[in-house]
Amino acid sequence: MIASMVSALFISLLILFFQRKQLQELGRPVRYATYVILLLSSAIWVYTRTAEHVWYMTVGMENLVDPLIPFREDD
Amino acid sequence: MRISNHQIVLIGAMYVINSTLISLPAPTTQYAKQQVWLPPILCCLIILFIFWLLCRVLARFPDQDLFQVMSSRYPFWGKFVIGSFVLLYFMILTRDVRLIIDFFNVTLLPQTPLWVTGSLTVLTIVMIARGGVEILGRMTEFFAPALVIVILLIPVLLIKDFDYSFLMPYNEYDWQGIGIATWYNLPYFGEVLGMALIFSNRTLPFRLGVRALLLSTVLLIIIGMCSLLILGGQIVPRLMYPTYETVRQLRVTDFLDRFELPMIGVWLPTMLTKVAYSLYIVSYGIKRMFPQFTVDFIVTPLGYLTFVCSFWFFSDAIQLFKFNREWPMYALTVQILVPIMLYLFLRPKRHQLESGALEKT
Repeated sequence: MIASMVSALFISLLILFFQRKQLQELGRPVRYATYVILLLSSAIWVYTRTAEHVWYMTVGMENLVDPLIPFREDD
Repeated sequence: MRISNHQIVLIGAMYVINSTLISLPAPTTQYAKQQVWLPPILCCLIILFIFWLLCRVLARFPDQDLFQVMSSRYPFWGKFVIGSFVLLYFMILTRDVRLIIDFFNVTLLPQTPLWVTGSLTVLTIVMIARGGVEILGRMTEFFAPALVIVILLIPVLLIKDFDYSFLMPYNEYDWQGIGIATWYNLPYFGEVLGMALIFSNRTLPFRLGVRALLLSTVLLIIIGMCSLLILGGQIVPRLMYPTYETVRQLRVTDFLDRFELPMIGVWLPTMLTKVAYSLYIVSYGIKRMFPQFTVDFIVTPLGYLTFVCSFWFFSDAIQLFKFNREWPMYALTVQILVPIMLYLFLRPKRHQLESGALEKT
């Protein structure tokens, strides 16, 4: 848990460091949007590394509907 | 934007071939059986029609790409349509990143943690995508011809090992199976429509799209038929990477008996370039939705998001392949339905039409 949080923080800070000039130039909305993307990415990273039962997105999508129903009878 | 016709054709062809080579030979052979050559042709025809529709839309708005057209013609609703394309290409992006990671984990680097391969992959594509379309075009022009030559060489080198009995019964067509195989292949062919999102009608005439799709179809048929003739219709569907196994059969001489390694060395740069294109399309779409962003800025945070989402979206390599069954349902909504709607409704304003007609006279 701690290792994944530290790695997420490290990557986020690294991105912010290398893009600090552009962040200043592009203004506040871009800055806040970048923080949100980095925060979201870090949260996903920590979640996928530490959760006991990860809810994988496309596994959920698979269960919504069977797209091959028209072909099913002879399967 | 300085992109040559040659580069456009190669970009389109690589966009179709690279992931399809890895993901789809198994289900295509499983369902189409000995008629493995037919689904790519059907997909090519369907996507050509959709591509023609998009080219007609682009022709109504000279010198603008589709993202530009949508954001300028319908500033509010256009952003939703752009958003749908951005989401689609983000899914393609995460899937391809995961595909690369799993491929290397299974075939070459089983002891290396997934996140190491993943982070290196994402770092590379971020660096490429930051360079913009021209850099991507040059990279494609550099590596893609090598992949085309390698694919054309495969049947030449393997012809002595072909077992033509695997083609039997060659006159039997299981149309239901061919339909399912086409269903699997269609969204992979549809990815080529991404070119219309970043290139205007002057850079991307319809004939170049035709050439790109024809080239990719021919190459995919060659690969599919080689796998079938070497491994057989019973073995191919049971393998995870049939193309890789086919290539492993190549032994040029005694000292070069692992010819698959140089082949992967040729395939990987083209695959990375393809993934970088997807990242560029997503970044460019976001820039069109929110003009405050610049493409070279947004690619880095998006690269990080792609990296983590490639682990969140797909549980493992097997599930990534299984998802190909449902994937067309989501992808084709955007790849087929949206272009048809755009063709029907996306037209210039009346005064723009009139001023365009005046300019012509």
